[in-house]
Amino acid sequence: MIINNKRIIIIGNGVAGNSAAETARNIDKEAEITIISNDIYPLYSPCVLPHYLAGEIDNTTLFLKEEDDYLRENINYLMGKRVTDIDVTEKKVLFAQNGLKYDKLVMATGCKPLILPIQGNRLPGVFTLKTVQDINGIKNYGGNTAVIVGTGLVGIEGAVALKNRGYEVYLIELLDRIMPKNFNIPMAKQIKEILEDRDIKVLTGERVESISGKDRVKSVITDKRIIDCDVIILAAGMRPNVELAQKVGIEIGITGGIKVNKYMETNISDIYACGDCVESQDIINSTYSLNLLWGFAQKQGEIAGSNCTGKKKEYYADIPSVGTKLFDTAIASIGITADEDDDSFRLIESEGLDYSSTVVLKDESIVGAQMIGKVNNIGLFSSLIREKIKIKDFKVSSYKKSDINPVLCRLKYLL
Amino acid sequence: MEKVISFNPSKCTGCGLCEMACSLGHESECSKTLSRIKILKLEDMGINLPLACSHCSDAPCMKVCPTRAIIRDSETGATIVNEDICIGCRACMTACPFGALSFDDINEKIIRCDLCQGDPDCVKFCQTKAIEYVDIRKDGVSRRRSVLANYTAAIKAAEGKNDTAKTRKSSAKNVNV
Repeated sequence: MIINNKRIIIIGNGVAGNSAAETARNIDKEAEITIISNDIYPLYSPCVLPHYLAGEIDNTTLFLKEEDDYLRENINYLMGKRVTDIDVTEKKVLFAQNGLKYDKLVMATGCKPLILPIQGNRLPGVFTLKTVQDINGIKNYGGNTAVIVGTGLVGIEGAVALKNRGYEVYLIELLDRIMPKNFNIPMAKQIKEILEDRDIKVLTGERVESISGKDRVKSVITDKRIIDCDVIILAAGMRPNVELAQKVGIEIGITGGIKVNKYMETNISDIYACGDCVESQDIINSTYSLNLLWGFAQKQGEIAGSNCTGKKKEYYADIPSVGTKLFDTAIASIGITADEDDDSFRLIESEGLDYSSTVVLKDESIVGAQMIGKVNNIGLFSSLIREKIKIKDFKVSSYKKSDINPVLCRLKYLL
Repeated sequence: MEKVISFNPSKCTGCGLCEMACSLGHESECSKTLSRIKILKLEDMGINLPLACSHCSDAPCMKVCPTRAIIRDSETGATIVNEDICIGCRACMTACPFGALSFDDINEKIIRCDLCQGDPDCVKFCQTKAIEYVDIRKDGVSRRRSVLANYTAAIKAAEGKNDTAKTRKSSAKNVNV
């Protein structure tokens, strides 16, 4: 049953908050929907910020909504307002001496970049890659040499963007390979070669110890060398924004994200959470993990928005997948990577003229896949990972002609 | 009334006319790689498998697109890509559970079926009616019938072998996926 004339307040103007608002609006035309955010921009995608930094796209593509769109959807957008507290018993959101009553509250506070606790981490010239302000800051700052700390997707895309802007780029990674969360050693090595071909210096197994400089960044000191640079980008990971949630007593999981059930409800009634600030169940290990990805946030927002209006919807965990383009080569990864020390993992590697792929097996079930070059078939693995199909059960020729499964048939050529 | 493209692999001869018609209509050249529809030939099984975008109602590609470049055509119900906004990141390709999307490396744009504004060329050129453009409800009924027939046949075969439970389970899995 849908109850009309509800007051729904959404904290956060990212994709999760907006998809929650849009979904709620589609179901309930009468509800009073308000988005409160300390952001001063309409909805934009942080995923395309590296392209914006490289100058490949402009404001029109970066921003997914205009202020008129909020009006058209009849969603109040209170921008530039930081929520200071939530009165859970009175059901009231408090911000800047104001209070706003809610019937349902959605926390979509997102995440923030991890600032390494090292000396000099607040010097001018130290940037992160998360908001439009960050990118504008880098664009206005100038400089010739850039050091990027961390080689996740953000770090790699940032490196490519800065290279395209004409910087001399260094990439520093603490672990033994780049993109350690998404690729195994052999694949990571190939990606490193792609970057090195374009003159990006990749330093793995190196710890950043401090940043030196007086009133602006001069150099970065690692345990192996000193690199003189003008710009430092910290891309060593993201952490959920949970300060507000903690303050009002919303339960936080062990991974540091807000704990929610499959209806995206928190432990406090009528408060939902979605997007980068929540932890989600890992479909492969059945544990909880942080999947701070655009697609996850979009889907969780839809679930939270739908449940707010009274239309029950369950969230089924997605399989994390990332993909990007490094200069001319596409790379993609789905599922998890193999742990080198664990014997229950096995890799199936294949290589061609313009591609290489690796399929990760755990106890002979498919748990992940990585591809460089041709990536258009990687999505096929999502159904195999979800169904936990054993590789020995996977014989296409045993299927009868009448029950052909296009997904399995195509996969035959990938394994 | 929403219509979908329905593929019947048992009727497909693998002639490739649909691929040529698709490429010619969209890109003005006869190139297999630029075709929105692809025929997979499983030589060892003797099967030709035409495949194109299914235009899923809860489309994963639309969800992952960071620039919201994939939109639904209000007339045909097709998921189409706005090429002005597409940045060529290939997130939709990695999200597609069918692997139905491909990439134009020269123009750096995603290639996907747009149902030819409700009059698909591949259907017009298919000589054996392996590709049909049908009402979504009719397609559903015929699929359910064929699934049911397979299921009952599997059960009958299993009963004959006196190994009912096991085969029933595996046959159910076969028809579901």
